[in-house]
Amino acid sequence: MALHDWTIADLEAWDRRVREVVQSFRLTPYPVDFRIYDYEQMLDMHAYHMPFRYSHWSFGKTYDVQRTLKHFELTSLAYEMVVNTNPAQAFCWRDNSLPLHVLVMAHVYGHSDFFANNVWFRTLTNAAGALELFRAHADEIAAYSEDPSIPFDRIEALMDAAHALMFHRPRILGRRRETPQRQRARLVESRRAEPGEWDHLKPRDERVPPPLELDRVPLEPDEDLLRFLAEYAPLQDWERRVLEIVAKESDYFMPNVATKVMNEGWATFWHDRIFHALPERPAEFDVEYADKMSGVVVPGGLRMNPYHIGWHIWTDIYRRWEDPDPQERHDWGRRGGEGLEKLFEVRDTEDDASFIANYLTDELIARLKLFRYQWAREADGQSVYRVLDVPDPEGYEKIRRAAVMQVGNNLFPMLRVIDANYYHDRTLILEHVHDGRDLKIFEPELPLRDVRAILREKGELSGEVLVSETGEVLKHIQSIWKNPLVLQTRYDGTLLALRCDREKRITVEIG
Amino acid sequence: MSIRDYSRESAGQRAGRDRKRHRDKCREAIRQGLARLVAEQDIIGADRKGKKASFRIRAFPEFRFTFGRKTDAVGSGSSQKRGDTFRTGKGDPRKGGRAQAGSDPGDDVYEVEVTLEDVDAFLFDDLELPDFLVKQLRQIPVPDRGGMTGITRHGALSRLHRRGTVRTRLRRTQAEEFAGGAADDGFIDDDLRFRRLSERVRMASNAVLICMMDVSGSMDDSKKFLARVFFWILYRFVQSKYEHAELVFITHHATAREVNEEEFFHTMESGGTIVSSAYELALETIAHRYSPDEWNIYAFHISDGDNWQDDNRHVIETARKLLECCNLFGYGQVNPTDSFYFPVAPSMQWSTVFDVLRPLEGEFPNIGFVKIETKEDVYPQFRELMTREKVKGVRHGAS
Repeated sequence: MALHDWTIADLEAWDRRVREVVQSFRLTPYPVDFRIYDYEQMLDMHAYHMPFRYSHWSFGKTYDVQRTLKHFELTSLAYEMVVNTNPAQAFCWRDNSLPLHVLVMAHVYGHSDFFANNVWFRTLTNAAGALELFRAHADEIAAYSEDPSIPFDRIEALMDAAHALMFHRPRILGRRRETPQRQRARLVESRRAEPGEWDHLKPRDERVPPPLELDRVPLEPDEDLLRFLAEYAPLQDWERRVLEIVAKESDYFMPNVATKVMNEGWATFWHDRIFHALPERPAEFDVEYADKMSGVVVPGGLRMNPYHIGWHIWTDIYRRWEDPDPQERHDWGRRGGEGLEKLFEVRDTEDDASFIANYLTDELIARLKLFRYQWAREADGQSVYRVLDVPDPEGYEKIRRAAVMQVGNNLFPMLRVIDANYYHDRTLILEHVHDGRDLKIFEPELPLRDVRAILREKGELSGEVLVSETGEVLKHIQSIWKNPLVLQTRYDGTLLALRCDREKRITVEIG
Repeated sequence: MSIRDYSRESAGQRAGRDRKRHRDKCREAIRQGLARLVAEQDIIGADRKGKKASFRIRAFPEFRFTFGRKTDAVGSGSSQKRGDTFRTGKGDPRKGGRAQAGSDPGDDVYEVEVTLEDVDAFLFDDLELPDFLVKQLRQIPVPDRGGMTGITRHGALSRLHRRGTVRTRLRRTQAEEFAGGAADDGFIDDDLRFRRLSERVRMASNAVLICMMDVSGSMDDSKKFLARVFFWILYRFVQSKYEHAELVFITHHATAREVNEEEFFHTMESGGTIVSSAYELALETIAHRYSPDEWNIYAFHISDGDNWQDDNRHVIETARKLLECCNLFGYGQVNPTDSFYFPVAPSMQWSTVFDVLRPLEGEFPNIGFVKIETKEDVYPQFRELMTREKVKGVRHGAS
């Protein structure tokens, strides 16, 4: 096809035109280095996410799984990938047609603009130094691998354990980790504060705070599991470094996780506008564009497609501020013509959770036909999904809340260290902060009464019913902590604890 | 800022190392659970159940804290009513079609369902029957029931032509009424009409694949697994090239017997190994049931190379006879790297079946050898077997 016969000079010409349009829309992306990659190179970038990354088998796994799925055409290869660096690096698949390349360039500028302006990326990642950071980490891990005094198995086991915890980053993005000294000083200071004007109205136990245990570890519940372990577990220096490296890289990627819907929606919204503003584009470009665009913003079916949801929300925000209807003008005092300013304001300040909470309106929920559903087991044992809420006055808020719970940090259960019994037997107490969603604890996922019955009968879980992968994660943590640990959670509304002892045996305590 | 084409540069080497490490981890896990894997997957039998094959992509699990299934999810794009239910399908859609949890603790298994035709297309598209096989591909006349060519008054009830029958009856009763005769008395034999089917003779090609396998003590599960994968590919290949393909399974240790598929892959017997016993039984089977005039015969034997040394001479004799009547006679030696039994070392003064059969290569173009060490070897080896001969054939033609 003629559309596939392009040269670098063609791309450069189109890049110039795209950049002109980008500027005319007042977007301010980082400059972009485009790299044309072949199929295997694209797979490689997808597995590693960065041009430099330390070695771990999980990246090889992603590579092979994606490659096999692609082989049977079960997934399609992404057309591009951008990394948050300054200058931005964008990787484009060689086999894209010329119009698709143009679409991809516009899309890439959208992402890069988001990276350069969104508060989480601006404050939490150092785009200019990112490549060096990842390269330094890769070199450091490689050096440990080559160190004859460090067995490879131990590096790998530690990596596996660190990877198991890598998404459990502090909930509040960007909060600086306090040193124990600072933390202690802050807590002491807080007790010195003068009684507030209305304190006499508070219940008595709030008026008199519990005594401070200043030698407690941790002083306050700690959500940063990787760094807590690096600081307090009995480890060698290189082991601490491995945990810190995984934590640091994970921190770098957290803004991506926290803004997936916004970011993809933003890039899609802009590539659409940029593409249609391009002068002198041949008619066959539009056909190819329409084909690809319809594939990108397709409704997600049982999942939320971030491109679909994000694109619709951004389009809706623009419409509501650029061209408000009479009702909106009256109710909210909107003057119209403020679309771009509003878009930039939202781009700069929100993340997915707030973006969905604030801008996924009832009308939009109805228009996108969003629904809330849950897995359930029918009376006949059949596994089904049951629709719980549909777009109607009763359902809007619940659907919106469910959507918020499926983005950013909410994708991962929140765990924190509440006590390490540091001056006793060092049993680590982990608390799962229950937000209404049970952890996956048993395999298969039985109701608690069935588990109870088995425990009563046999005294332990074995054979058919086992502790799920949660138990495996506990073993990973135990291998770092070296002492016993306990995970406290709720299951089916009842308190439940999983204990992992020094021999890595998992026991279940209910109620 | 800049646009550069990196695609002609060599791909990063980093993935190679991590992919290998991941595969090694999987292989180790598979070796430990091998018996179960072989028992679970009916590779050859897959097409009898609705022509679907599950392709499993084995991936080593990464453990994380996750939420249970009873958590809210949001879908989009279709009109639902509150309380509607829909089937969950095979996997949890939120996990990209991953197999249902619980089926296989400790293994991350992606089940990919593809039709066998897809698999064949993927495997065999660019693979033709080798020249030496095409030459011998025999066309066999078979009676063919073609389409309906008309209506007849006689035939089996199963071919009753209902509309024709009703029409005849209407015509008859109306004629009778018109003539002032009796009222309608239902169907009579004369009303019945039947479909007439054409009876053509069509040239079809039949093939039989004779699978022979050593089941003596030294063939452990990992070796049998490799044998099974090889036989599956060979069977699918034969099936895709011929309209009618049959399978014969022969196992042997000191004596040979014909078994069914189930037994073929699951029996483990002890005892010595006399390879010629299998070849003799194959010859007997061919003589009785699969005349070379009517059948394209593929015979393949897989063992770990072990044979009773005094039998070697007889092996050559019987192999020669097989080669004379078969399109392809192949021998495969499996020496899996993860087997508990060491392969026969070349340094030992001990000749494997491979060494015994090898001299026949110069004499017969239709003999083939494969050596398989891992599952990944199977398909490349199979390709080599099919393409090598083709190249040779071309060269002969040119000279």
